[in-house]
Amino acid sequence: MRLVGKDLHQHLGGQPILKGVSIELREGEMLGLIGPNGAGKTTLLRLIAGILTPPREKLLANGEPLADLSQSERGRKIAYLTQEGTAHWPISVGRIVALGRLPHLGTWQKPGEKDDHVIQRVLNQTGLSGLTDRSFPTLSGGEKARVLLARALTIEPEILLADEPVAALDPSHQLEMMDLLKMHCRQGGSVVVVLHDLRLASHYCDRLQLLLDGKTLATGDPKRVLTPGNLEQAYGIRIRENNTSVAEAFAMTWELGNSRQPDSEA
Amino acid sequence: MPVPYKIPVHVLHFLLLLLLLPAQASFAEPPARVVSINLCSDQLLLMLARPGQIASVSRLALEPNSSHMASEAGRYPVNDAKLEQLLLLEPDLILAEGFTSPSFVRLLKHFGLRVEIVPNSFDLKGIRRNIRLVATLLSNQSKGEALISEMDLRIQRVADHLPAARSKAVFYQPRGYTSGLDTLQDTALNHAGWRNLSKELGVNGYGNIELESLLVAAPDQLFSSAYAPGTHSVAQHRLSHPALNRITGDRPMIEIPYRYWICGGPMIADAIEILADSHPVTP
Amino acid sequence: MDIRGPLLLNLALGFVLTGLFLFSLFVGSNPVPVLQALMDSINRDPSVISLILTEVRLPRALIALITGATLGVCGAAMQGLLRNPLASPGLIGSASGAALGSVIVLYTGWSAVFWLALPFGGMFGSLLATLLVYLLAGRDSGSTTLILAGVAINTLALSLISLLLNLAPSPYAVKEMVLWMLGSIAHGSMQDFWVMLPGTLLGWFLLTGTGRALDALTLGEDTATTMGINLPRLRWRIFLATAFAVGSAVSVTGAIGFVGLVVPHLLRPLVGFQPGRLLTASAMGGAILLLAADIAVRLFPAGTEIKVGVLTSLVGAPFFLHLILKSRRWQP
Repeated sequence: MRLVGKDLHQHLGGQPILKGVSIELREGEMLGLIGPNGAGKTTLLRLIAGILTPPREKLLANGEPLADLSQSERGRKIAYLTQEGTAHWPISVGRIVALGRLPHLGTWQKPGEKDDHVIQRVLNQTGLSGLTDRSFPTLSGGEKARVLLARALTIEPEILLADEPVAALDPSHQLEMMDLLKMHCRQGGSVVVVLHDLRLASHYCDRLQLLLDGKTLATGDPKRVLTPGNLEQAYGIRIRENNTSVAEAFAMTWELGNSRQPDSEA
Repeated sequence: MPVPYKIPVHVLHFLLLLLLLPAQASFAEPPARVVSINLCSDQLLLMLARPGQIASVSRLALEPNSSHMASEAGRYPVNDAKLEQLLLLEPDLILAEGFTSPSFVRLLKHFGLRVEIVPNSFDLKGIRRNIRLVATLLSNQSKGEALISEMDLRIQRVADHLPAARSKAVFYQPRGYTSGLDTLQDTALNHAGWRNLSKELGVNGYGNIELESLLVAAPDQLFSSAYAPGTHSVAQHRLSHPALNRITGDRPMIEIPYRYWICGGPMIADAIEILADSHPVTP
Repeated sequence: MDIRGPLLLNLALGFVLTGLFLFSLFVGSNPVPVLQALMDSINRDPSVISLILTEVRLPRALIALITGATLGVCGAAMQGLLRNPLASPGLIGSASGAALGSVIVLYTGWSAVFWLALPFGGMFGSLLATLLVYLLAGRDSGSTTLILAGVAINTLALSLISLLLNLAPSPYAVKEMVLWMLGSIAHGSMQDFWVMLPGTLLGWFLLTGTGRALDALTLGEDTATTMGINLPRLRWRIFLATAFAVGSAVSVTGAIGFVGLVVPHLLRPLVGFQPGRLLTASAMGGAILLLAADIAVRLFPAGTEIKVGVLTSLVGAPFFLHLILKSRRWQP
């Protein structure tokens, strides 16, 4: 699904948050939303997710207004990983992941063979097959994040929206999560991910969009967005002189070791 | 030196009489300002008083639901049985009943007031005794006897026309209260030719019977005297339980006014007549 | 996905429920040969035992069943909606609001004029109280705020009920405070059953199908919205359903406490903690609990009329304490 948002405005609690942001998302693309706190990244995600409603003609999916989709149709095409994801009841991992099929099932419909198949596939891909009977609160932070992502993947959405999915994770788990998001793109879906870690953003994302104070400061290839000028203006930080280029400043200098490959138990 | 002389005996007697005369005089005359501080003594006072004898009746006497003599009571000043009120009324006789607090009675006597207790009554013997007691206190014995004879006459007339067989009845009040042995309701039922199921089930005085047990006893007629007719509560609502209707073969519950049952008095004859009229008409 | 789970549980609960229902027809102060009574009841001129069966024991069992089921399912629905295991019709004011509405209608005599007035009063009072608690506590309230809001509205409702009963024209009113606050199933007639039935069925009907949405809510309001759940509509549906069902039931039985709290909590582990699967199970569990409590009340020696709410409170209060202590463990 190709997404185009033009000149989006949004007020929250009387304050203007988005002051004319445009966004574009192509299939198979991972778009990273970066910017300082309060820039409007979460609000932009919530607009696309359907929690906030922009004027019809300003947000288009495949040329048609996104608002024309029914809520349930939208639920099948767009998945949203909230910033502080949690499960309110100590449900087992298997059941949480299975909740992802909910948008595809009618009120009384029970999951069928196809649904079980999708669930199993996602469990394998996220390395959670051995944890299905564990109760959610007993999991570690990294495992919890993976479970919630698996739930989102089970929807088989066209667009996956992830709001700071790696914020509280340790380095290896961060890489695992980003690898999984990348996998979704490889399978034909697209991802919009809000990140604070600029290294991860530049390494994994096809494009970056830098938001500042409700407006787009820069958008495009990571190397072109992460310039010293933009960084200074947006974050108020400066690259030290010993790092010769932006590319080197944001290079990923580590990767997952053998013991932490996705398919093995921690 | 004075010579001590014996006072003649007849002079002594005369002097003694002189001293006692005022006291005797006050007992010889009927009381002129009689105050009643309770509902039941109100009734008898209103029925038996000579003109001008009543100084005050209790406030409860004005309530038509509970006071048989309510319309009469309206003619007299009303008291709330408060000490200051009673002192101001300057009564020469105060009528109280069995339920009046003994400490209050003692208090009244402490202030020099004369208090006579009319005991509670639940049968004809007690009613007659009370009528005679109050009539004597009011020095109106002839009126008392007239009331008793009229009451007995009416009850006898009812007894002469009773059906041969006695049907089963129960007084059923809100909250399942029934009137068993030694109650006014029991006396009235008895003299009106009914069997009192509550007494037969062993209830002494006023007691609760469970709905199922009542149904098993299979009464032919249910009577009730719910206080404050026209008001609503859960207790009153339960009186209209369909099972109660069906157990009496769809014969409705008959309401007998509450005022016949609070106080024993000659009005029980009215109640007996009403109960006697409630017998199923035999074709 | 374990489909067998809830099915087995529901079958077992259904079996116990049927058994208890039938058993309750046999319990009473007088021995009644039930089969004989059943056969007599179809005669035109019913015998005493059949009268006891059809007009005393049957309505009592039916009222216990419907009321218990209502309290159980509404408790489960509220807890799923508010994501809080302490939300129950008693705690969040639905029950006491219903009692207030019913008291207003009954003691003024309106319910005698128009029979639907009584359950309407209960429904209206219940809805008002529930909305007030919800507005006070806010959408994402933690336990403390919710309890405080509930306590506030409950206290208000209780004092108003007490005031109204004191001012009521009927002299019997004052002593009936206990009836409304503890609840009683005794002396219910088939008429009372028909009075409470429409509202409770309507409420149950509104709740059917909300299980899916409640499951989605496990992941939070935002996530549920993006999965296609219409949250404001779900909220209204559950509030109205609770108001209709609890309002109607309480207008006849008074506010019976703790059933809506204890039953969902006990059954939750057995349905894998999923709120959607808890609904049917809680309905049956609530009916079982109340039937059992009513049977226990009837087995007490005659002459002591213990209200059924006393028993549920005796079970519920220590349970409530245990719940608070335990909820610290996994409440986010």
